[in-house]
This record gives sequence, C-alpha cells and structure tokens, in this order.
Amino acid sequence: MKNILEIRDLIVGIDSIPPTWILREANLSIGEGQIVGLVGESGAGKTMVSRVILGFTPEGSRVFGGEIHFCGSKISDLNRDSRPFLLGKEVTYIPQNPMTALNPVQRINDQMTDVLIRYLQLKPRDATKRAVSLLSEVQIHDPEKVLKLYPHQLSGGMRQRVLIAIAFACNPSLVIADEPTTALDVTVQKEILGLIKRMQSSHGTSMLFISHDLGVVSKICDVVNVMYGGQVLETQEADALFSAPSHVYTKALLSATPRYDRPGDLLEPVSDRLVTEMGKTILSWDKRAEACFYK
Amino acid sequence: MFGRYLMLRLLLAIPTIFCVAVIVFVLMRIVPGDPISMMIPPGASPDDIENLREIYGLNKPVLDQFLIWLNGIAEGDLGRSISLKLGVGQLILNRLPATLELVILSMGIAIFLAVTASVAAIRYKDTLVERVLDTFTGVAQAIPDFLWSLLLLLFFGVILPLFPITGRLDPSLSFDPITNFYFFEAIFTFRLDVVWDLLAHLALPSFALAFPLAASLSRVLRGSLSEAMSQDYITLAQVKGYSRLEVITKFALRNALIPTITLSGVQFAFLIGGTVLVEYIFSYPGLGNLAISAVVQRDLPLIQGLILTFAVMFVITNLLIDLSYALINPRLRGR
Amino acid sequence: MPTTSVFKISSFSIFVIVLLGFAALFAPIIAPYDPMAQDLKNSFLPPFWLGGTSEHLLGTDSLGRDLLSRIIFGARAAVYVSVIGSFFAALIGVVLGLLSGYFGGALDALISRLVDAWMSFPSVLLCIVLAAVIGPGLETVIVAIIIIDWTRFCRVVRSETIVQKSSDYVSAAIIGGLSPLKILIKEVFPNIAPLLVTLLTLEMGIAIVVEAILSFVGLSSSHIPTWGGLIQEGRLYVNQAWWLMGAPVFCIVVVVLAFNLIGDSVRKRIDPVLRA
Ligand SMILES: Nc1ncnc2c1ncn2[C@@H]1O[C@H](COP(=O)(O)OP(=O)(O)O)[C@@H](O)[C@H]1O
Ligand SMILES: [Mg+2]
Repeated sequence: MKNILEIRDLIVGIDSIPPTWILREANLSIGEGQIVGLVGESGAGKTMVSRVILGFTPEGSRVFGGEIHFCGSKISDLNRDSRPFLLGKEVTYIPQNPMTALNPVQRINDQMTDVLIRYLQLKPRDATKRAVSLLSEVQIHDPEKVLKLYPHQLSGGMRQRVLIAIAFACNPSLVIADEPTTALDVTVQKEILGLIKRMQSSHGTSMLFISHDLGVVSKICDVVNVMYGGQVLETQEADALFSAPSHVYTKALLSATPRYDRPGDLLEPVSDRLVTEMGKTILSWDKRAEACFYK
Repeated sequence: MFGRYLMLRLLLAIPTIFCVAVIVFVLMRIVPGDPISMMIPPGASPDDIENLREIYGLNKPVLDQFLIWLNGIAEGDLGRSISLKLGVGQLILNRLPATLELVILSMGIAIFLAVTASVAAIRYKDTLVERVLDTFTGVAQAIPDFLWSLLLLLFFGVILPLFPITGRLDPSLSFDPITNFYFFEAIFTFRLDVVWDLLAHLALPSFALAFPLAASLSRVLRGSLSEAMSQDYITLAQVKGYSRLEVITKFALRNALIPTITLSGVQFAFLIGGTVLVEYIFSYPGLGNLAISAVVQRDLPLIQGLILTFAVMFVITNLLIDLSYALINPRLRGR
Repeated sequence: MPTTSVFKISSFSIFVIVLLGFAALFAPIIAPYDPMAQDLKNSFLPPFWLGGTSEHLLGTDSLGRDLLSRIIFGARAAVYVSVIGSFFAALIGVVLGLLSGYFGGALDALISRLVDAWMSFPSVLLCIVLAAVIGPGLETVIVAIIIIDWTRFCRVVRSETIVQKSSDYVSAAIIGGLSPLKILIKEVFPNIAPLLVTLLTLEMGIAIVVEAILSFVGLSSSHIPTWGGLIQEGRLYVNQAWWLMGAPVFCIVVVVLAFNLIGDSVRKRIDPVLRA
C-alpha cells in the first residue's frame, strides 16, 4: 500500500543551549485511506508531531533532523510560508477545543465557505450550497439556519461538527485530529467519534488520530502508534496491539487502561521502575544527540 | 434589545450635558470680573453700563439668568454674543462644519495610522520594523497635540514650506459654497482645486491631532492583536492556509478591535478638546478658535454656548463609539 | 541589550532634568543678559550657527532681547509653576483618594462621580475658561494645573487604597483599634508613597505642557518670559525668524520627552496599578 505520509527519524527541539528535545527520532507512516492512531501520555510529543506536519513548530523550536514526506515529496524543509498550497486543501486539521477554534466575529457560513472559494474556486453561492450539504453530512439539522449563526450561538458538540465539516470540505488527502473529543461531554464524545469515522471512510481520507486514550484509539483506528518521550515505541495493527503488545511500555499502558472487552479487570498504574528505566533510555539518547548537534 | 440600550445611553447623556451646563454657568459667575466692563467704550456713563447689563440680562439674579438661558436653549436660542454682537447659535453653526471636517479627518488618519502600525508591528514581530514602530509610538504618545502642531508647523510649514500654516482655504480660489461643509461640497461639485487646497490646509492640524491619538490607539490595538494571535481560531486560520498577513487582517484584527474600542473611547472624545489649541495655532476658522477668542474677550454667552456644544459633541462621539462597538461584536447585535 | 538602552534613556532624562533644575534655580546667574533688556538696534539676530554672533548664542527677538536668557528665565517660570501646581494637585488628589478608597460608600460614590465627570471633559478647555475668568498670571496657571490634574492622583490613590485596605496589616490595625486617620497616615500612606513619586514625575511633564499652553494663549504673567509666551511671540514672526519659536518648542519637547521616559521606565514596574 502507498503511504500518504511518512515521518522518518524526526528530531525536533527547542533551540536553546543545550537544546531541549521534544521529538527524538520519531517514525510514523500513514497509508492511503487509513486511520492511524497516535497514543501516549500527556507530554509525549503527540501535538508536536501534528504541528511539525502542519509546519507550525512553536516559537524557538526547529527541526534538527529527519524527514517528512507527503505523497512522495519531501515537505520537512519547506517553511510555513511555502506550505499553504498543502494546508487547507490537502492537509486539514480538527482541533482539540471546539469552543475556541472558531472565529467569534464571523458567521459559520463565512468560516465554511472561505476554503471552498479559495481552493475549489467555487462561487460564493455554490460554496454556500456545498456548505449546506456538508453540514447535513455531519448531521446538523437545519443547516441553512446554522450557517447564519455566530459560533457563540452553537453548543460545543455543534461547533465540533462544524469544524469536522470544514476539515473535510475540500476532500483533503490527510486529516489530522488532535484529541478531537477530549474537550467534549462524554455523551457527545461517542457521537463525534462515530461521525469522524464515518466521514473518514465515506471520503476515503487518510487520518492521523491523536489521543491519550487507548480505549478511544482502539475503537476507530486501523494502525496504532505508541509514543513516549518523543519517540514512537511501537507500531501495530490495532487488533494485534491489543492482543499481543510487544513493548513493555505498551503492556503497562494497556493494563492501566479500562478495557471495554474485559470489564471488571483491575487497573495497574505504570510502575515506577519502568518509568525510571525509560527515563534512562531517553537520557542516553539526549547525550548522543547533544554530542551530535551541539558542539 | 440594542435599540433600547441606545435609548438608555441617550437618556443618560442628558444629565451629563446638564451638569456641564450648570458647572460652566456657575463657574462663569462666581468669579470676580464683569464681562460688561470689557466692552464699554471709554467715557460711558453708569446709565449706559446699566443699560448694557439689562440687555444681556446680567442684572438679574444668577438663578434667573440660568433659567432664562435654559429656556432659550429649549427654544433653540443660545443668546447673543457680547463681543461679536451676533446670535451665539448662528456663530456656532457657522463654525461647526470646519471643526467637524478637521475632527473627522484627524480621527480617520489616527485610525489608519494605528491599524497600519499595529498590523505591521505584529506582522514583523521581533524584527527591526517592530522596534522602529515602538520608538515612533512612544514619541508620538509622549508629545501632546499642542506640541505636535508647533513642530509640524515649524518643520513642514516654515523650514520646509510644503503646507500652508494659516486658514482653511486660499481666498484667491473663487469658491462660493452654500453650506459651510466646504470639503464635502467641493467634492460634490467636483472642485478638485478646492478639495486639494482644503486638504493642504488641513494636513498639518489634522496630523498634529492624529499622532497622539494614533499612538495610544495602536498601543491598545497591538496588545489586543497579539493576544488575539495566540487564540485557537488563529491557529485554525493558519491551518486553513492563510498567510500571516491575511491571518492578522482577516481574523485577528476584527477580534482585536472589540477590546480596543472599549479601551479607547475616551481618547476619541479628547481629540475634540484638542481642536481648540490646534485651530488656534493654525488660525483655522473653527469652533476652537472661536472659543479662544471668546475666552480672551470674556464673552459669557458665547463661552457657555461653545462649552455646551463641545459637551454635546463629546456625548455624540461616545455614542458613536458604543454603536461601532456593538456593530463589530456579534454578541451585542440584536438577535 | 534592553538594559543598556534603558540606561541610556534614563541618563538622557536625568541630564535634561538636572539641566532644567539648574537653569531654573540659577537663572539670574547663568543667563548672559537681562531677559527684558531691549536692544532695538540688534533685533532679529539669528542664532550663532545661522550667521549670528557669539554674543547672542540663540539670537534676539523683535525687540532685541536675548533669546537664550529668555529661555533660561522661561525655564524658571515653568519649573516654579509646575512644582507648586503638581504638589497641590497631588495633595488634593491624595487626600480625596485616601478618603474615597478607605471609607467607600456615599463619599466614594460622590468623589468617583466627580472624578469621572472631570476626566470625561477636555480639562484644557475648562482650564482656559477658568484662567480667563480669574485673569492672567502665574497663580492662575498654578490653579489651572491643580484643577486639571488632581483627578489623576485621586483615581490612582483611590484604587491603591482599596487594595491596601483589604491587606492583613490594615485589618490588624483596625482590630487593634487604631483610628481611621492614624491608619491612613501610618499604614496606608507609606505604602502608596512610591507610587506617588512616579505619578509626580509624570505629572511634572504634564504640568510643564499646561504651563506652556496657558502662557501661549496669553493667560500667564506677561511680565516675565515664559516658554509659551516665547512661542506665541515667535509664532508672529515665524516666517522671518523661525528659531524664535523653534527654540522654546525644542526645549519643551525635550523636557516632556525626558519626564516621559523616566515615568515610562518606572511605570513599567507598577503598570497594573496605574492601569487600574
Ligand atoms: N512552546 C514550547 N516550548 C517548550 N516546550 C514545549 C513547547 N511546546 C511543547 N513543548 C514540550 O514538548 C513536549 C511535547 O508536548 P506536546 O506535543 O504538546 O505533548 P502531547 O500533545 O503529547 O501532550 C512537552 O514536554 C512540552 O513540554
Ligand atoms: Mg497535545
């Protein structure tokens, strides 16, 4: 199968002396039409991966090494300003917090149609028609009315639906969803998750699905990557990962996650010994990198 | 809902204006000095003086004078100017258009400068451009409009004589306007030579008024802009593929204007007060110039009328600012 | 790098302010001529670098009076008026601010309304009116400065007093039975004193501008040279001898910038209080 996105040995750090490492030779690939999960505890560097793909490394940080290939061409050495041809059309994004991600002073219509007009060269009226059908696709009732509203007039779940519609508006090749359900009510979470899965398969889009929750990832992903300390420790088909995890950390993580298939099992926190051990591995990596990039 | 809010604001404005009227009226009368003494010709008899006092109502008790004045206002009569021997209302109406043109142009320039400077400062954050803009803003804000007038007059009126430094319109241009809104009338009658000359006369005074306002506006705007730039909707806009400049102007700016308007309403109103000295310095025939001569001549009815006019302009400016705030913030717009 | 630039700015300000104070204090000694002495044969002399003589460094005015001497004496008038004006403005503002902030209630409401009304009107205008009514003179200018600027002190002191009032040591003093007057003087005032120093610095710059404005409009004393008066005279001859206006304008601009830079660097440290 062809890979739509490939990340090889990506190293990102804050450019201080010595550098603070955030991604430590991370590897990741996303096949065409796949949903690829990226799980790990908070601070593992998941958001960083998505930001590097989008070209939005935070201020002060930079890519030290490694490559990102998108559809076979290398994009990691393009800076942000030479990427717009990708952003918005080929690669889109579903944000974590729908409450703050929409522009408060613009009507929903304008926020949806701008990409359609910009990238599909639609006329404003046709763009609105397209927006209506997109909103029905994400199961918003009375889309014509919603298009006329401002974000503050919508609930969190509604806003996330709008954001999903925007993400799929131009039939992108890759959608990155960074914890798209974390900020939502539990009841809404399930619906949104189902919606994302449905949108992904009906559009045939590839997707990077980021979450700290193995349970969520297990439900919708084809392939799962487990991340810790800026490294991808393990990549497996979703079923295989749950039945036969290979990395000790994955095993520990699994026994710390509530299982829908085995309710009643006792949860075990990740042991201190394992944490210290993995800390050591990271430290030795940092030493090597320092010798390499900081002389 | 918004209409009711506006009505409420208008109602609240009335006591403000009334207070100003009372304060001015009382102030002008509790202090020693007699306006009549300024206007009597040498050798006038006490009878003549008494006559004059009677004509201007200055022989009545203060409260009566005030009631008569208020009554006059209600009937649209502001009294007669002592020094110019003309109706105060007429004098003010004649001069008002000149001041309004100056005020509107200055505010426009100030807004333009402030928006450009803050957008540029955010766009070129952490570069030389930002530091240069910082310095300009600091200096523009530190120097009040009075000094800006003098500096501009010196540098661009005298040392480098680019602009005229007195008046409103070159008298050699034959222009017979129907209204006193020269500028608008010149535009509608396609007198481009007149438009050009008016602009040349307005250039120095309006920039002098605009600089300090622009500086304080851009301080606030820059703060709000850089705060807006860290919001999630900005990230989304960037991910949608907008360039940095587009993100600032199309997304951040409108959001940043909301807090800016709330924080700088007073500054706009203060620009109106600034016209007094600036008009005087450039001998610009507006209300401010009239006010200074009224003050120097101790022309009580005229001073009262002028202060009242300024107070009304203040209140209207504040209202307009509230209105634009509501227009720009969808949360306040009528649902 | 920021530290050096702040340092440079401060030393510029301090230099200017020391120079100003020096000129004001020793005007009769350092001024080369009597500022009122006329010499009609030598009127409109340009400054020495524009073809004038070294005897009149900045040239002479329409009556042949030495411009440098007039500027030095103008500094004296400006400093005199601003210092006294600022002091009394601060006094009134601080007293009302302390009372308003400490006692709250109707008194606070009254004072706050007054301050709001005061600040919502262009005070320069009110001041010109007032000065016109009292009649011209240095005292008039002082009164005008007080009237314009007591509100700045009042507002800041009020909000700071409210903060102080809720602090533990004031609560302790209240429980300890100290009278409000003593609490205000012994506990609250020392804590707002540093703030006051900053406000006074900023105020000096403002007062000097007010002085210039009023003397420019002809509402200060006409018997002594004032910067505003010099500007007003210079404005008449600006096309023949621009330096007559240029020199005093330059002085005021430099002084205003100096006070502002000092005020700014101090303000950065206590910004939240001043913005409140
Ligand atoms: N702007 C930044 N400056 C410094 N460190 C950062 C910055 N952004 C992220 N990091 C660091 O990078 C690591 C990864 O962050 P992130 O990708 O947000 O983790 P995750 O999304 O997995 O929770 C964290 O340890 C965080 O401290
Ligand atoms: Mg994250």
